[in-house]
Order: sequence, then C-alpha cells, then structure tokens
Amino acid sequence: MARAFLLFIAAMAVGILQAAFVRALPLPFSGLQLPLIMIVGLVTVFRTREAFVAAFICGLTLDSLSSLPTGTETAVLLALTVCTVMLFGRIFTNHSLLGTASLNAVVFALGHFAFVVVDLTRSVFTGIPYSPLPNADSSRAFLYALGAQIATVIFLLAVNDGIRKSVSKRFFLLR
Amino acid sequence: MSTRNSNRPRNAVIALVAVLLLAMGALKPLSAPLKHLATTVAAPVYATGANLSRAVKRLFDNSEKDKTALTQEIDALRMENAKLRELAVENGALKTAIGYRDKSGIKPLTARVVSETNQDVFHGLVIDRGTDDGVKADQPVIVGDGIVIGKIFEAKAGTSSVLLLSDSRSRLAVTVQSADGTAGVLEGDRGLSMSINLIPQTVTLTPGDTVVTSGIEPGIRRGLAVGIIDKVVQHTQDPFQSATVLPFDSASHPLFAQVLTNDVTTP
Repeated sequence: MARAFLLFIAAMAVGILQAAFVRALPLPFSGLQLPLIMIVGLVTVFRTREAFVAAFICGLTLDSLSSLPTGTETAVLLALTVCTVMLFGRIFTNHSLLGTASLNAVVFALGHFAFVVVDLTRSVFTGIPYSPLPNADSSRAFLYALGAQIATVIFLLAVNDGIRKSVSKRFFLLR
Repeated sequence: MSTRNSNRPRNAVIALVAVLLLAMGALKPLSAPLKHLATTVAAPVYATGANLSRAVKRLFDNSEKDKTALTQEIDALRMENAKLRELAVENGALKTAIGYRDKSGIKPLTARVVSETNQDVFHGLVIDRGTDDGVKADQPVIVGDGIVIGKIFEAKAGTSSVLLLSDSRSRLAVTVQSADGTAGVLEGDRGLSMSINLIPQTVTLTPGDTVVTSGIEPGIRRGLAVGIIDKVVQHTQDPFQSATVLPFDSASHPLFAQVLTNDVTTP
C-alpha cells in the first residue's frame, strides 16, 4: 500500500515537474521528457504493472495542465509504455549503461514522433497549417533535446550508482 | 518472468480501456481532484521554472543584464504614454457621445499561470481559471497594467489555454499610435515574432511607435498595449509595408495573467 502511494506521488510529481517546470526552461532543457525517463526506469526495474500505473497517473497530471484535448497525454504515455516494454523485452535486454541509454534514446525518439502525429492530427481537425517534415531548426532542437535527455539519464544513473555504493559500504557486514 | 510476459497484453488492454474512459469523461471522479491538486501545486513550480529561465537568459546576454532596469522603466513610460494618448482621444469622443458606458465595472479575473506550451501547432499558456469562473474562448488576456498577451483559446472546467499573440493562428486588430491611428491586423509567426502586414506605403511608421488594440474587434476594448514597432519593411514595388512588433519585456514568462471576462468595446 505504501509502495503504491509512493508510486502515485512520484508519478504525479514527475507530471507536475514536466508540465510546470521543464516546459518553462530555455532550450534544450525544455525538450526534456522526464515522464519517459521514469517509464524506462520502471520498466527496467519493476516491469509492466508499475510502469503502466505510473504512466496513467503521470498522463492524467499532464492532461490537467495541458492545452491538448483531454486524454491525449495519457494515451501517448501509455502507448510509449507498451513500446518500452516490447523494446526492453526483445531488443534492449541488457542492463548496461549503453543499453539503458540506447533504450531511453529510442523511446525519446518515439515520443517525439508520437507528438508529431498528435500535432498532425490536430492540424487536420483544426485547419492549422503544419508540416510534419523536419527542417533545420526543428532537427537541431530535437538533437539538442535528445542530448540533454541522454545526459540526464546518465546523470541519474550515476547518482543512483553512487547512492547504492554508499549504502552498501555502510552496511557491508550485512552482505 | 513468464507470468510477467503473459500480463503484458492484459496491461495494454487495461490501458486502452482507461484512455477510452478518460476521453469519454467517465473518469471525472478521479481526474477532477487530481486536476485541482495539480493546478494548485503547479503554479509555484512554474514560477520557479520561469524565474530560472529568465535568470539563464540574463546570464547569457550581458547587454540585457545591463538594460533590464531601463527596459522596465521604458515599458512603464510607454504604457503610460499609450494610455494618455488614448484617454485624450476617448475624452473628445465621449464629450459628444450619447449613452456613455461606464467601464469602471470591469473586473479582470486574475489567474495563475501553471504551464507553458511551445508545440509547433500551439504556442500558449495554461492558466488555473476555467469555465467555472466565467472564462470563455476569445476573451483577451492581459498582464501587468494592460499589456495584451493573447486570447483564451479553449476554456475547460478548471483551466484554460491562452493562445499567445506570437502563435501563427493569432490575429488581433491593432492600431499604431503616432501614425495617424493606422489600423492593421497583428499576426503571429510560429511563436517567434509578431508583425503587422498590409499597411499602406503612404503611412509613416517609425521604430519605437507603440502598438495598441484598435477596439474594432468584438470583446476587446481600445487602447490595450501590445508592443512596440521594431522594424519597418518596405518594398518600392509593393503597395503595402509591414512592421515587426516587439512584445513588452513583462509579457514573457508571466506568472500571473488577467482575463477580461466582461470587457466592452469602445466605439
């Protein structure tokens, strides 16, 4: 019960951080996708159920702070969770730094593609002119954001590794 | 592992059903309190992000660092100047008008900004006021003491999205002060800039002129400040000229916004 509550709070906090904090930052940091890092982390550590629950709660939070039609963010996050589970189970099965970073990079690219599809669908229904083809500016912004995403993943892995080492040193007699 | 693998299709189906229920509004008992909590917490988080963004911008732009105080002062003076000009024109018109409507009853609805959106098809803000507070689409949104930043694009139960003037879809009827009240339409461009097009070549525009709302658009009164003319583009063969408009400094990353829910048009 306590774990479920923690997951709920963490997923909501990530959603709020993404919608309110990250999107207000200057480029390339505004392109960061914290929910995707969380989903990849949950899929690789806890597997599917926790990842789906967190994606749903995070999606609901993002939807409540978004200008997109209700349910869009949740649907995209859940679809990306399905993709992450499949990628982790069949292609990026290694728990190494390279494997985790690669999985994050592919999921980030898929997320970018998902929002291109959302924008395209929206433009069809609202009549807003929108070209899904990348131009020099959008390609540069995407690459910078991808770099920032991978750097964040490596930073979080290093922090996690540091904490684990510190804890295991302190309790080495229990091992 | 095999149990986990067998759970995958079931989890995906549950996820699909949850999204469908959400889209149909069946999950309102769950999403409504979550939305309330999220918008309450998001405002201070957004303020931190916006302040950090401004700080980073200043860090990489030394000239801006030096000019910030002066820019704010100039903005305030331009605002005051714009208001005084409009008051002078309005005063003359009101002396002869019959059935003058007192505008003192207008109470702007103050809202906190909870998020920003910089997608290719939408450049805007999300505020924590919605249909419950009387917010409707196309109502003007201002910051400070009357700087227009956009219009309400869509109002939901507890939140509304604001389409910024720099969005490609944004259109606003404006007039340029000190250019014989030349009227035009302010258009946004992919969230990057704003411009007034189709201004006759005979009109003299000067960089630094203040742009205000013209009041011919339903629901938006005359004289609300929009920005200042930055560049004027003229081609000898073209019968029209265009002008790039710079927004006021206080219009970027606002923490609070005001929705003019019962604004009236001054003829």
